Amino acid sequence: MLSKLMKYDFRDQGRLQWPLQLGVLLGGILAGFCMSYFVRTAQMMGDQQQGPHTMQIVMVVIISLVMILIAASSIITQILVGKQYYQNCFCDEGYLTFTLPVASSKVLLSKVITGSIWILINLLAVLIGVGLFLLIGFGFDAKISAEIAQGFAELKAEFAQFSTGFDLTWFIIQYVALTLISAVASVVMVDFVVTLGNQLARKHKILCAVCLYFLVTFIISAVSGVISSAMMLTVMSAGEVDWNVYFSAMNGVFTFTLVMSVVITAVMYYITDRMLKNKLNLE
Amino acid sequence: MEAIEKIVVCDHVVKNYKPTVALNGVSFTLPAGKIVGLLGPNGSGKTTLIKILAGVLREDAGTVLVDGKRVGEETKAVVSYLPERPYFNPVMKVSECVDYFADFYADFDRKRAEEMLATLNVPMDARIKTLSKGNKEKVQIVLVMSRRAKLYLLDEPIGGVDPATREYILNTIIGNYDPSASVLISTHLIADVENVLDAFVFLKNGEIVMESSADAVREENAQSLDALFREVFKC
Repeated sequence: MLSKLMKYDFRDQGRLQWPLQLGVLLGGILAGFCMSYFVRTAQMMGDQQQGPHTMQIVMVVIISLVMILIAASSIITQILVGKQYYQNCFCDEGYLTFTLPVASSKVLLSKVITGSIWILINLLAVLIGVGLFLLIGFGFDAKISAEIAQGFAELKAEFAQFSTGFDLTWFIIQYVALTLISAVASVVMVDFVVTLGNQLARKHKILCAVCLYFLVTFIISAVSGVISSAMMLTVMSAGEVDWNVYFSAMNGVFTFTLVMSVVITAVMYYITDRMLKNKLNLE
Repeated sequence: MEAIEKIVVCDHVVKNYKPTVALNGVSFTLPAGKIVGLLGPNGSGKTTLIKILAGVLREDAGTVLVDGKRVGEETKAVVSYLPERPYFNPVMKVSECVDYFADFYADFDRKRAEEMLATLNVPMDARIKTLSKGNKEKVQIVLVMSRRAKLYLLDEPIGGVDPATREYILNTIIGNYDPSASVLISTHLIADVENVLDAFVFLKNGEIVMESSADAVREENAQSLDALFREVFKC
């Protein structure tokens, strides 16, 4: 049953998500061509150019708008995930969803899994979109490409000079894990506040959910910020600080952030599951 | 193994929407193989009771058993519920709604559903949002009645549609349900449904004020159920 729920949830979300993610990719391509035009005209004009000409300004505006939209796509993806959850569970569609012969826990699990997949698809779309922008905008120009590659090499060499105690592989593993956990956590957070908002408010349930979202985010950020800062200060004030000590402290904070994300997500998931099982009251 | 003769058993069921008491200690049983009318004026608690049996509301107190089990995953597999509102995503096509039911309900008869929809001239590739109100209701009633359920919960199945559609819906209910199954119809349009009812329950302010067989009313009281309803619920 879970696979069937996921099929319909994924398809339902896809109606708006696919065009959005495709838009991100196309936006990256468009911005790339605009940047390419800008770079080429700047190179052609060279020292003779006195200020940008009209088309260059237009290109820069287009690039800026596209970049803003690409950045906003992650928020829009999250909103669409939350919207689908709310409509499918607490609006008229809920009368269909919660009369299916499936446990409410499977309904929730399906929504979390499909929502997380869409968050990750968006992340991939953004990375590819930005990548296409850079490749099309700068990549075809051998001179600029060489300068960028040289810049990365110098950065890497400088980093290696100081980070003798830094395990890059472990850092990448943690970063990927945090990315995956964050995708799940963001969906669980939205599901949690929407479900709780539906419980607490008789009217203006969406407004209540939005307020709860900011409240919960603030509390989590404040608590994790205090603990992370305390951890860093404790380590940094213990004795002479070198890069090894610094990266060791950063590693500890990173691990703490990971563990805290998992714990908080698990707690919110459990509470949401219980509310759906015991407190479902569709009106 | 003894067959379960009571498909629904409600014992002192209470549901509050503070400060209103929607159901105030309702106790009744629904026998298998009967069509029962859950009748009452607006706000009497009909929809609340049906929603509890369907599993989209939780009772605050009391016991509700469907097919001998507490309302949950197992009972939803044998209960076919028609709410008083459209519940499909409006962008879904009729064919996708049929696929949805076929996917989730083992007792769904796809062939029957498609035949009924064809008889009603409902285009399978039409999106729900493009259908008229009457056609939306027809799609839902067809899908609900195409299941081989043990209990059909129909909440205001004929409200808001024209008389011809009402007659079709009632004929669909009679013609397509399994005689061993039970049907609980909630409505305030008594005159339209009374000829199909085996029994009735009058609900007022969240309490049962009368329950009996429809024939008994006609024979003993020499009046229609509609007339009795007007008498009991006179303003």
